[in-house]
Amino acid sequence: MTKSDFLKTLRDGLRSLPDADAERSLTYYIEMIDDRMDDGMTEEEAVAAVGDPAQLAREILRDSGLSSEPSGGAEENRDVIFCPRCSKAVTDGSRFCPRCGYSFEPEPNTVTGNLPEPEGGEPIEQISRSALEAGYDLKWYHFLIRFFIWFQAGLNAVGLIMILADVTSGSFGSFFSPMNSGMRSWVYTIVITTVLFIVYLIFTRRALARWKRCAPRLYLISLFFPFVSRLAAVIVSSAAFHWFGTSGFVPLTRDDLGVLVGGIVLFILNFIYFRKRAGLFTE
Amino acid sequence: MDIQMKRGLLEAAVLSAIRDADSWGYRIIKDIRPYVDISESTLYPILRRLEASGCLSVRTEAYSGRLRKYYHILPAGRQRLDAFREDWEEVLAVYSFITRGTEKP
Repeated sequence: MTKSDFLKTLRDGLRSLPDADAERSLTYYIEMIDDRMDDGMTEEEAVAAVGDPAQLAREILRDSGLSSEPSGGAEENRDVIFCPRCSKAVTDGSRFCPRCGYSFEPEPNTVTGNLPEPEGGEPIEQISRSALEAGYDLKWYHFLIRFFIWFQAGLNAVGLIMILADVTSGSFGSFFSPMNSGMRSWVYTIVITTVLFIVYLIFTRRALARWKRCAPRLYLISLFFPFVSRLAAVIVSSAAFHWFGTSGFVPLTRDDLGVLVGGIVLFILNFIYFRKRAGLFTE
Repeated sequence: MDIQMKRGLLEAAVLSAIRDADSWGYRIIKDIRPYVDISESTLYPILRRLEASGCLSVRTEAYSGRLRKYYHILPAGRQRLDAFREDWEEVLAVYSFITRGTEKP
């Protein structure tokens, strides 16, 4: 086998990896072959010494899939199955696809695609419980994230109930002062909050499926999400409001700006914190 | 050998191979192989893990008309090696207890 055959087979085998990861593996093996050839081997010998590219690709995929599991020996021989949704190679026995979060188990409630209405913490509870049952042990940052997700779910549920209560009772504006001028703005707020919350749920589900690698990012986004969603709701609904001519444009209040600045500062502090401690999350 | 034990040994062996001077993939393998069996595909995830945990850094340099990655040990890697040695001193103490009086002829 020539070096280019080797690389072609390896590249083919790594199709389901992100480009950067596949490229890194390829560079590594190119260097290994070149170094062996500098050491006096022929191209044929060097390629043979490095190994069978198809087998290597399977090992690389297995290692990248296993990196989110606490205790799988890299040398254990496990079978690989392919995710029916995104076709990533996954070790057999996994309960979730590490890339898209697809559940390999026939639990109708935890399969994405039909996310329930975002009132209450119900769907999130199922997600995090399933992810934990999948063999991830609870570490301090898991706890932190779990806590935050619950907290977030509670906040969103309370917000939605308040809005719904307001709409149905007809007494607008006792809770959210910037948007107290009519039915339409409430509808926008509900729609926007619901959409954003569903996006958040989908992200959370996917991130929980690959718990370890995503944990810091998930935490950062959970941290930032309430500020973004709230401001987006205020800005878009007041703009829509203005557009339809029901009332004047509602500017951001000083409170909103405070929340925004505070959120950004929190986000940056946490970002710096996690950047310095990246090693904590990969072991 | 137990897989977990081998993994720990290999990580320490890789760190030790770059302890005194920066090294590259193939040279690390050649240095370690007389003592522990290690292949390219075993080394790759170990290097990735050690890099991700801040034990070593990687730089790419030109070498005879191509690129080669050089691995450089970081303070965290040296600490890991120290910890390894301390752990094994304890293991050896237990070993000598376990095997006392049972020397093979």
